[in-house]
Amino acid sequence: MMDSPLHLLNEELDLWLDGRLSAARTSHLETCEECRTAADEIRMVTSQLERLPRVAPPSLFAERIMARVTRVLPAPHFSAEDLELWVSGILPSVRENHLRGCPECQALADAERVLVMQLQALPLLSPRPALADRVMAQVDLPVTSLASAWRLWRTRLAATPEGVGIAAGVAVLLGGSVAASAAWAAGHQELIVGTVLSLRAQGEQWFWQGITLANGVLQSQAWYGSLRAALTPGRLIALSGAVIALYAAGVVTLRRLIALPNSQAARALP
Amino acid sequence: MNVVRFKVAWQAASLRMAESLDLASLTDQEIVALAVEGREAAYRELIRRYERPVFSLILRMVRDRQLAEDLSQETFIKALNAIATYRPEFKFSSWIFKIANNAAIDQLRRRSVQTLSLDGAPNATTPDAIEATVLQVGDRSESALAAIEARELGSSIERAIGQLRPEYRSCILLRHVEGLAYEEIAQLLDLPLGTVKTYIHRARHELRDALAHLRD
Repeated sequence: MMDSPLHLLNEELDLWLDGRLSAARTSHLETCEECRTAADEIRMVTSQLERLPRVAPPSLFAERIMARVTRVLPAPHFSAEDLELWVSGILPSVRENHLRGCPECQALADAERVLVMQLQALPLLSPRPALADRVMAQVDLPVTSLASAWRLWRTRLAATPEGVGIAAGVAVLLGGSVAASAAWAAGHQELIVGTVLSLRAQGEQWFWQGITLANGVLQSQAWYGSLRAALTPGRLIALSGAVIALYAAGVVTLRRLIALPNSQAARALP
Repeated sequence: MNVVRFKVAWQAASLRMAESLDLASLTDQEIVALAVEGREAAYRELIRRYERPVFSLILRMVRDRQLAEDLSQETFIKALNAIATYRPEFKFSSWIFKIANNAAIDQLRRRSVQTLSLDGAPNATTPDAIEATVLQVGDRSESALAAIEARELGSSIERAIGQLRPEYRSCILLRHVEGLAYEEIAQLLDLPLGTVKTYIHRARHELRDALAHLRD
């Protein structure tokens, strides 16, 4: 240990033990007592290990091992789940390995895949033409707004030549009438104004005559005096309130009676 | 649910404001929202989108073209007249398929339809009737020979599907022809998820057996 600071490393001791340490490093052992002691200890331990006796296994050890190995080695054949995974292309690699080594399962899997491809290649079949027309003739389009009502009428009218003809006739009739009325009114403005004023005066006269007559009839009734005495302002207010409450209750009741069923109840389709 | 309805109504209002309304580019939910407002074009768009899938499902269920025509029409009339009760949180396709499947199953319960109608309905006796009721299988092949082969294969698988029990038939068609998920099919048919998986597995098993001769 005195002449070299470079003691042998563990790896170098292993090489020395195998006889593969370089001569330069081996010579270090001759001069370094510490390294020589370490090398001697390693050699002694190694030789003791090599001399250890071999212990025999229990009887039938190999048979018991092989019995368990033979139960594990052959993987089960393809199940329905395996086939589904295979068809979907997501079969685990463990089962793929079985497939490669099992001609029976390979044939089954190939047949399954071919069948699925045949099913997927089945063509779409066409009904007779104009199915949409036949269906739409029996479908009630919902009318949810003025716009949809207009669309519905427009569509129905435009569906047949007769509809277009009727629509055109009505449009000409209405348009012609309006135009004729406007033209006549433009030439007879004084007559129209005079007639309107006369009718209004006559109407006002009839209205007041009616009011006066009704008032007279009412006051001539025997019960009028007692009714007027009974209807004090307080009672009149209470009666009005009761009538209003009765009216509101009637409206609410009617709304409930004519309410549409909710979506749960209306969902009668399968 | 109210939030979903509000969103759909809002989308419909936005769409109304748009000057040009390209119905083909809208989702089913948006089309339904417009239909609820009474727009006939939206109704027709829904029919355009689903007339072939619905008709295909019903025809493969009842195996009679004239009957399938009537049931398809009945399905759309029923669905569109009740469009206001459609719940937008579900897929429209599931809803219409449910109505179509129920119509087909009800019909199968009422009467047994036996003969495959690839070559015309069983009650078609005149040439015109046969031609009117023959299955219109689209020609997707590139050559005449390939067309014949495609027709032959289609015939075999159509016949095999026709041999399945109606419940199996519904499940297998909805799963592999219409591409619905297991959960959707279970909800649509009101069946437990495990039952649907079992039906589909058994249906595929029966179809494999029925088509085994084609693989040999």
